[in-house]
Amino acid sequence: MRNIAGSLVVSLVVALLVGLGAGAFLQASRTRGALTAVPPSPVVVGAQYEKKKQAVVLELYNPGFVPLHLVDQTVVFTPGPKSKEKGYALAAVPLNLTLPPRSSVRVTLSLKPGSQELQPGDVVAGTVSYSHPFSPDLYAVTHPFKLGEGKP
Amino acid sequence: MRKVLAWLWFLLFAFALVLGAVAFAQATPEELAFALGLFGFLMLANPLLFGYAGLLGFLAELRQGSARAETVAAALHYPIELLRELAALPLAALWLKELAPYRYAYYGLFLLLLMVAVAPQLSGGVLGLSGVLAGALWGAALPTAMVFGLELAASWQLAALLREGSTT
Repeated sequence: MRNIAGSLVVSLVVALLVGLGAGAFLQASRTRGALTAVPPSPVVVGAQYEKKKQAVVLELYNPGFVPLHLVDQTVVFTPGPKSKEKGYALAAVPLNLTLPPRSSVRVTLSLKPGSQELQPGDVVAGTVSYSHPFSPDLYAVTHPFKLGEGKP
Repeated sequence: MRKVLAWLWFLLFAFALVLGAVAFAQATPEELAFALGLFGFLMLANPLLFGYAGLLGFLAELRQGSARAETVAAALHYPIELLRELAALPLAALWLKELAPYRYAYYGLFLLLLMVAVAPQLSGGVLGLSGVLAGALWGAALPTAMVFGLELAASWQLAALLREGSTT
């Protein structure tokens, strides 16, 4: 180090970086603590009909920092104008899946065995009930899936 | 007057105690680890901080021509008879050399903590530092930055004095 300005600048930059790092770390630990105290609600990010399996597959995403437990699923089938099938409901089919934080899982909603293929206009309402670690209660998310309504 | 001051001091002390207790109760585990790393490494850095600060003061006295061998003897716990014959510049160099083993041990312990805190993250493939060990690491980084700055200033001052001495 040839001059005093150089050593001053170097030690100042080191001090600023270390201070920034320490402050950011402490702030992040507080934020993480706050976020892990809030139970999230899963989001349906994708739904598609699989003809071969005769099922609707939902993709559920957990946006929070707390793991969720998917307890069971309910399928309510409402026929459209083109369908010959009657409406039905399959209630409380056990699921027992754990949805870790910041990740997604695919849930298969099987339609009634032996039923007709879905026709455009049919509506399948899939309900997934879930619980989180802070409460014994059950919550539910319902996704109405309508075939042939501009879905890719 | 004395009594009033004593009471004021006692009130201040009690206030600081309550404040500290509240902060301790509300702290996250990461913040407790941060405090542990900060105060633990401040104690480790103690000889270095006071050593480099004392050396900087001695070098400033040297520039003014009022440096005394007694200062160095008291700081390094040397008998004054050994140092009285030496000039001020070699005394400063001796002081800097005396601090080198402390600096080596201090940086070694900091490196050890760094490795312990960072190695699990590397093996897990996660680069974001989190957890109590990272808190201790950030706490220890503050006295390390202080030691680094003081050491840089002291060695620069000594080198500048040596350069001036060689040119004149």
